[in-house]
Amino acid sequence: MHFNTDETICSIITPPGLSGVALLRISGNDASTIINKHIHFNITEKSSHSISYGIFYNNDIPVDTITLFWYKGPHSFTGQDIIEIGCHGGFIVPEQILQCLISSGARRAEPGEFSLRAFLNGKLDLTQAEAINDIIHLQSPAALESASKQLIGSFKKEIISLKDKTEKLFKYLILDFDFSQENIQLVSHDTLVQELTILYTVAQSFIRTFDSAKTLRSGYNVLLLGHPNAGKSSLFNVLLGYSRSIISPIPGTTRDFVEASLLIDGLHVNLIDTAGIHENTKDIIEIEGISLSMNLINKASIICIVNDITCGIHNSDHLYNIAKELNSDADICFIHNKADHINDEFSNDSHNIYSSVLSNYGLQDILNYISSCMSKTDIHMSFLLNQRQVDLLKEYQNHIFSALELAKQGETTDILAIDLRSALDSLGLIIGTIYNEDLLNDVFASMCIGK
Amino acid sequence: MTNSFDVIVIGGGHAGIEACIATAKMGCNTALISMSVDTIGRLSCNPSIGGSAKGHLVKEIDAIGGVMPLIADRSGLQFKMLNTSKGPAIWSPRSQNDKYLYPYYAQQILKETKNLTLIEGTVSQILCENNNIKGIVLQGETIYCKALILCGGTFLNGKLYTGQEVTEGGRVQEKSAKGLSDSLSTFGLEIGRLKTGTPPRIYSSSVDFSKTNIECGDDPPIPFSHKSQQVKNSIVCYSTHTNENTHEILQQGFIDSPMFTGLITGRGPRYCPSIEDKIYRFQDRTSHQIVLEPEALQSNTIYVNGFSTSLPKDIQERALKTIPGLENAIIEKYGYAVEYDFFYPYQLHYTLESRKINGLYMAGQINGTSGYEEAASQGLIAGINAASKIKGLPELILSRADAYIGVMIDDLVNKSSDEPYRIFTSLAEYRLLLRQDNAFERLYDKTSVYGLHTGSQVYVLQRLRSKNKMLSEIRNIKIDKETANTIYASVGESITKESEQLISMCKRPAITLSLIRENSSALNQWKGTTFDSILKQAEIEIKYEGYIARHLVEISKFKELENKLIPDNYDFSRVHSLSKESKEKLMKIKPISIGQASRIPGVSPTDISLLVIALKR
Repeated sequence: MHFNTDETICSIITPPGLSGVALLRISGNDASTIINKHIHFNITEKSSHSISYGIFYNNDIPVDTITLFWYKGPHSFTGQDIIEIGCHGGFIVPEQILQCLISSGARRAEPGEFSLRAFLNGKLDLTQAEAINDIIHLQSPAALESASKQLIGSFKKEIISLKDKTEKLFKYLILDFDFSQENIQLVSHDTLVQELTILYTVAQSFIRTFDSAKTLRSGYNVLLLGHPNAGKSSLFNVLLGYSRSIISPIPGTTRDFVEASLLIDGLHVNLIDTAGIHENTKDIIEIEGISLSMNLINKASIICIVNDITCGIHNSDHLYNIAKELNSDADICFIHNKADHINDEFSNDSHNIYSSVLSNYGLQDILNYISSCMSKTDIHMSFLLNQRQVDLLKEYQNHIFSALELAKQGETTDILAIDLRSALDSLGLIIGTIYNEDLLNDVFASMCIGK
Repeated sequence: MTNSFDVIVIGGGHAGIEACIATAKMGCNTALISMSVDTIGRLSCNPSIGGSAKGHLVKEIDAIGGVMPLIADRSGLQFKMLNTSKGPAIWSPRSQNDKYLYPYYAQQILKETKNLTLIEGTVSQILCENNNIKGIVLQGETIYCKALILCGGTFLNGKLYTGQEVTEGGRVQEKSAKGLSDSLSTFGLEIGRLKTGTPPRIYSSSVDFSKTNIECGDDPPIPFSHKSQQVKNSIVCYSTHTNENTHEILQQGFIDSPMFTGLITGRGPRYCPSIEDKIYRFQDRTSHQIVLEPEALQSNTIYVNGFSTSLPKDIQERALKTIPGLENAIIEKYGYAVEYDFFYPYQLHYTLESRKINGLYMAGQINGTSGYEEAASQGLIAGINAASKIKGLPELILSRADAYIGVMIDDLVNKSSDEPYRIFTSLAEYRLLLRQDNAFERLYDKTSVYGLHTGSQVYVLQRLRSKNKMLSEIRNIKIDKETANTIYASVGESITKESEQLISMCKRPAITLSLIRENSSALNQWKGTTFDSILKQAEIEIKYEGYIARHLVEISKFKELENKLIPDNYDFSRVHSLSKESKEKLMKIKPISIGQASRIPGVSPTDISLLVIALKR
């Protein structure tokens, strides 16, 4: 990490590739001096937070027509002077402008360096920096809502409120043993147990949101599981709306798994096509593919057992049992495929959907099913926890639990205070009120360029 | 008289005594200067040593090789372990002491100490050249020294208050020291004012003890010092309490209280408040505990603990008489408050040497602390460091992970407060490790190089070996089911279906090793009272081993930051984008490590990140 904030840094902040326009950012004390070398007016004479139109020159040769967004420090994202340059997109122009800025004295920014500067200049705290990183990596509108709430600080408010409550109890406990000589008891045993239980429950409710958060962040895993040649890959392709898997009538074609993303009702879904499960295969590659399927079961939120209905309605029941055993939390349903081949009467219920890929029958029912399973998750959470935060919250919860158990056993306040202090430390690490060097590195290391 | 010493100690209170004995024992030619040699070692406030957290300090002084524990044992009238209903981290020894015997034994030890000269007189000036200490002027005569340890107590510009009456003095009927503060302020030391108070003393013949409760010492009484063979309880104390009448009368006096009228500008201690403070702050409490403590065997005066006051005499008298047992009390000496100069302790190194003046050390109340034990432990640290510098030995800095002394000095240097500092168990983060029973284990190795432990080595080694042997053997002991269940049944613990490991039995809350020793043959080789304290220590270490392990992990993290050093004379003003408040604090306190910087109030984690980053550059 570059902790030196004296250098002026620059970067293309829109993704590379073909696009109508691209945006570059330059931040640092020399930002305006460097830009002035390439335009025919003085940017500092413009008022801050204004947009100017102009031409970008390289040694008086015009490069492109540009718009300049001028933010005078400290009223900017990084707290330093920032200029953002809007130019035409593509591979040539943005890179040429960037090279000009570098040759005039700016340095290419490292991933996360703009955010790091914002942190170092007191513009962001660690949780806000984390939230920015989340927003960039998000894949669905629902997750954005939560991450934005975190960025504006509602997550921090919740944690601070939990910390305040814990701190108050902690202070009473330590005052209690400081004053024990004078026979002053500040917290009764019942109040103590009651307060600790509340803290435990609050932490629990935060942690619960993590599973939803994880799904919001990385998408719902929807697994297609079934015997070879049940039509999983065909179903997969139809659901995606385009051909992705190799489809053939030979059983066992999908030996690895194939994954694709789609949005269903604004939520991000990872649809996973697996190798067919075949109990007596001898093909090594196929065996590996099958054991991979078993691992995938664990990570799935929704499992669709694709059953070839022409082989009977109970033909895949044992697959259902395996799935249930390996992952009891997942929603599991049967998709009875090839329904166009049977003549009996059939009707859908909550766990049985009849479909036919060939005649596009039942596909909407499958999407509806997936959608209804997903709607059970609270997608409008006030914040989106990441792994680091949930680990610390669990640490907090463990300390509170330990204090609660000891309190119930009648342990003395001085021992309980040790657990409470550790609990407070865990919360302090979440919101950055305790200095921790690793954390500083972790948060900025996973950032992408341009932030 | 010779006009040159290695070390001069000014002030013969608890800090001065430890300081001069330490330097003399370490081979420095030392002078102790007191305004009145007879008053050296006086217990100016309560006739007691130790108490919550203070008892820990006394045990630590014992482990480093100071004298307070020994004097307290010799002059002790009653011994008691406090807070035994709480966990072992906050058990604290306390004694009642004879207010005549304490200074008597203190002076006796001073007289027996080689390399030490006692001088009576008042120092009017401190001499300094190029920021190095040179000597002092004592009644017109110059005496030179290599190190000066200032332990002036409450005597620097001391003023005594009783109601609206104001007199100059450091203690009642003792004059104050003028000129010293002025002399030091010319060197640029920042000075503030603090106040502390003392309760009235009454004649025991005027007390109706039948209306009070008797407070006994422990049986058997346990001494502070490992060098004391035996101590005994020769008195009892008596407890009583104030009531609404008392509070009403005292409130009438608020208008005349020097504290409320603004006559005293210095702040009083928050935790050892005067009775008027307590009534004012805890208005919903209708009663406060009062303990009547006999001051000496050869005297019939009683110290009214819990009734510290500076209200007018008539109010004190009328209020006292509302307390059960004190209806006819006759006052021997009225309560009073003393206001005095202190030097903001951020101006000190961790060694207690002044940052401005080389060779000047400060200890005790002039650093803004309250209490004999706080003073004595600072005196000891200042003495050891002054002598070490002269003798070329390593300096002694105790950290928050080593000792309560370390916690105190760290707090003093970093958190310069506006009220007298008193040590508390709550201030120690690693309190389950900083116990009163393991002071030697914590401090012996760190301090044996100074040679103050004459004759303690064998004690320490034997005790440690004995405890380690016990701990390792105990881990292999199993108790059969019947015996275990008999023991469980006797204290109401649920019974077991199988034989049990002694260790897991011991982890149950109501089970102690001595209970197991009494009711089984398992601990036969440790029968007898000589093993009692080791058995107790082993028990604590078994019962709380999970927490102790956790403390050790925390301490290693703590040390990581303590070892990230900030160079001497580092220019904090250069650090990019530090907040203004942080910059000011850092420049004032000049922390030596990132760990220390992170404990300065007002310096945020972001500021610490910036500092770490700046240091890496």
